[in-house]
Amino acid sequence: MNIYAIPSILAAFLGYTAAYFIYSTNKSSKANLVFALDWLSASTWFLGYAFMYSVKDENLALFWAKFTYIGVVFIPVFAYHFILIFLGVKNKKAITIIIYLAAFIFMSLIFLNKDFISGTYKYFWGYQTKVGYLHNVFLVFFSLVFLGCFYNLFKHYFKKKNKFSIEATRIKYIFLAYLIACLGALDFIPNYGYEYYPFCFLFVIVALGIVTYAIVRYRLMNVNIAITRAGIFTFVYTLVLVIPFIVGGVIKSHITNTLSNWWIIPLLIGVILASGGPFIYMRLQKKFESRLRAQEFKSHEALRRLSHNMLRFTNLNVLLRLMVHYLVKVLKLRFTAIYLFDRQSEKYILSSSWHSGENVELPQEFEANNYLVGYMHLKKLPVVTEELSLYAPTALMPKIKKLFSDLSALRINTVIPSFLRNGLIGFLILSDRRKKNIPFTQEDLNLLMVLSNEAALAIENAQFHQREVSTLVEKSKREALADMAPGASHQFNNRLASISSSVELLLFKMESFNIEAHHDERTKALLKDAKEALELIDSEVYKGKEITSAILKRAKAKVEFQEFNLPTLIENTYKLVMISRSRSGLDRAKELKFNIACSDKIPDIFASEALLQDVFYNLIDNAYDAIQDKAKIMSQEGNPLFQGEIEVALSQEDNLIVAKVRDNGIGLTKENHRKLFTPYFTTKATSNKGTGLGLCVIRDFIEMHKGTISCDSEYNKGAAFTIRLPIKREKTHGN
Amino acid sequence: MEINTGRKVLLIDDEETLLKNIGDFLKVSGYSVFTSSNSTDGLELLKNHSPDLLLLDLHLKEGLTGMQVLRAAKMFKPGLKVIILSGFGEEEDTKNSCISLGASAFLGKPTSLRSLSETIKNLLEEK
Repeated sequence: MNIYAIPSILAAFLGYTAAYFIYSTNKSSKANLVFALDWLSASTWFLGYAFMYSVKDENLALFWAKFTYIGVVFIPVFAYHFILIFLGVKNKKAITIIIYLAAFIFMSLIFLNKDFISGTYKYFWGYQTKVGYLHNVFLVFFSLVFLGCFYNLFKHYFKKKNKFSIEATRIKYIFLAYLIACLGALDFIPNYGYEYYPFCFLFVIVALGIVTYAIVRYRLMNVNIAITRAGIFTFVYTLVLVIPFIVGGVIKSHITNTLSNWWIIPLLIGVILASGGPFIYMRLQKKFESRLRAQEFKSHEALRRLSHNMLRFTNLNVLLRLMVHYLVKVLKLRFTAIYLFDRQSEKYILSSSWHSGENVELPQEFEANNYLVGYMHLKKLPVVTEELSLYAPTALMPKIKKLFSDLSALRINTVIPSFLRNGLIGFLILSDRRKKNIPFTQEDLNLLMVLSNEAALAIENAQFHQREVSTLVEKSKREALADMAPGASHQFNNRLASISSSVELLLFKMESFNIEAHHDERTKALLKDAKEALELIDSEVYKGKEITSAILKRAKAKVEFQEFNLPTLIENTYKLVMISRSRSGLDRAKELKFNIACSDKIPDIFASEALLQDVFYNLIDNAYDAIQDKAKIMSQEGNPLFQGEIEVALSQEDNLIVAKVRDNGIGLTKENHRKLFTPYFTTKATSNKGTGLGLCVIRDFIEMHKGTISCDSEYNKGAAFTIRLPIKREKTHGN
Repeated sequence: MEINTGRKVLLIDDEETLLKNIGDFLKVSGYSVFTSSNSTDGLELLKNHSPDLLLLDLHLKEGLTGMQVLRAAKMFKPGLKVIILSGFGEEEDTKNSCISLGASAFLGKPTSLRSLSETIKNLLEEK
């Protein structure tokens, strides 16, 4: 055993391990196979050196020198082949075959011709290969092949439009690795008789390390990070390999006499350092990278914080806006958008978006059978536009190419799916970055994936919370009204009864009193006015009574299912809307026509009076708002006489009652129409206007009756909501 | 104008104004009217004067409830016609139990004097 052989042995060990690792990671990949073979060749070289240095016999040394060269001749060949696979070059088969053939020829020359490997030198570290003039030919071959590698890398790099894209970054990365590896060629020098210890194979280890990392992860990080890592790696392993070497050199002369196995000491040092190496490397790497990637760590920290805090939000709109805003800011994106699944329309609907600077026209919705959606269902992983074609099986290629061009056209860089109990509840769309288009690292994507799944929970939480709260609010409103209304209306009715009886008594007395008998004109006129005033008061009293009775009916409506007459309920509901609205005194419509149209006799419905009253109250209330808005626009256009119309058409279809609430108000814009049933959507500026009950809750109430609701609307023309309710509850539910 | 029909009407209501107004109106319409703003006095008047018709507010502030007064009055004079007045909304249950206890009519407040007088007339003519 020779002290100088230690670095080579360690390197060989590292190499064989790496070769096996690369190959076993993906046995079906040609890139992995060829690259593993390259490792194998390099390791053969290292192993050959180790034996060559250690043997005492010249003939044996020559054998190992030749063995070494079996590896060496194949290094450039496999490297070249790998580059072609890596770049996806397919039209250079001929050159590849020629290079392979050349390598085989050189290999046979090793054993057949003395002018290639001509013998061995005896240097201070042991035997070293001695080469003949044919080796110069090999050197030319070696250089040409590597030049070919660089040429191909260069060509493909400049073909890339985006110099910061993942592909381009990858090429830069490989380029760097090959450049470092080429320094290993300096180890040819001792073969020409110059006595210096060949340590340059260390560069090869570094370079192969870089590429290995790239193949295994297949997603490259910033090049400067790779350089840092490679630098630290080289530094640490140079120490690991060189320190025992130096120690050995120093102590050899001193202790050879006292200790025959003197090389045990440097070997021990080498083993200790080698086992400590990874830890030192990791520590240094962490330290350097935290400086280098301070910005990145900061943004990761911000994303982590966001994902921890998301569950606190109970307002869905606020949560979504916060997410998109935060992502644009933290990741420095052009835009980001969130699409959420809507079970009514079975589409993924654009629910929130944020952009920085230029506005991007994103699609308002994705169909559930969209290929992108299907792809995410299948992969359950982020879809990175640039990488779409990398893993695509040939059969799916056309579809994936289409998806790629669709996403590229929208400048969508990455789509992060959001899964909840295996269901895709939505997804997050990220653009490329604003400035230098640095691709997302695997770490970024992992973090975004955690974030998006965390978001799924938060969204469900907010939806549930808001639904609960608004149902609760509605219930407590109902209860408060039921508590207060009877007493209040009793008091109110008693006052009204006092007024009406007084007025009517007076009127009664006036009837028997002949006004005309009086000649005083002023008295006559006064009495006439008084009579008119009394009649007005009396009729107002009975209007007041209608109000209290409408409120009472509302208060006494039961949530429990029972049979009742739907037209009466709607009539009463309309009164209630008018009662609560007329106080605002902001009526812009000239007047409101309300009509209940029954196509035929509508049978009593078995339903919850209170809930249906809520439903119709909100629909009529919304219609009223829509008419006010339309009237406002009309009057701004110089047309103050707008005739608002609300019609409820009732008809029977088999065992269903169909109620169509139609108005001629402002209607819904396409976007609002689309968002109509998404939770807590409102077109109203303030949510406390009206009852603040969203159509989402209305739909819930109708679904509790096993009914359906749909909407037709055209902007500026009006809206029509069609509700279908079963007349009787299905028998399977019992009673 | 005052024609005495010879009919006696008892009015029990805790609203003084209403009591006075309806009382006046009925007097003018030719009835003998007895009014009381509470159940105790009302029942006393019922015993003493044996009216033909009772106008009864269902929700009296003190003493017996309208329903109890109705029951007592009917026990005392089974043939008595009773009109119930109520300021609460017309709830079918309440209406039905009043009718089953022997009330002849149920009017929600406020009610017009004209319809009241018609109801009274019709009820008293039934006999």
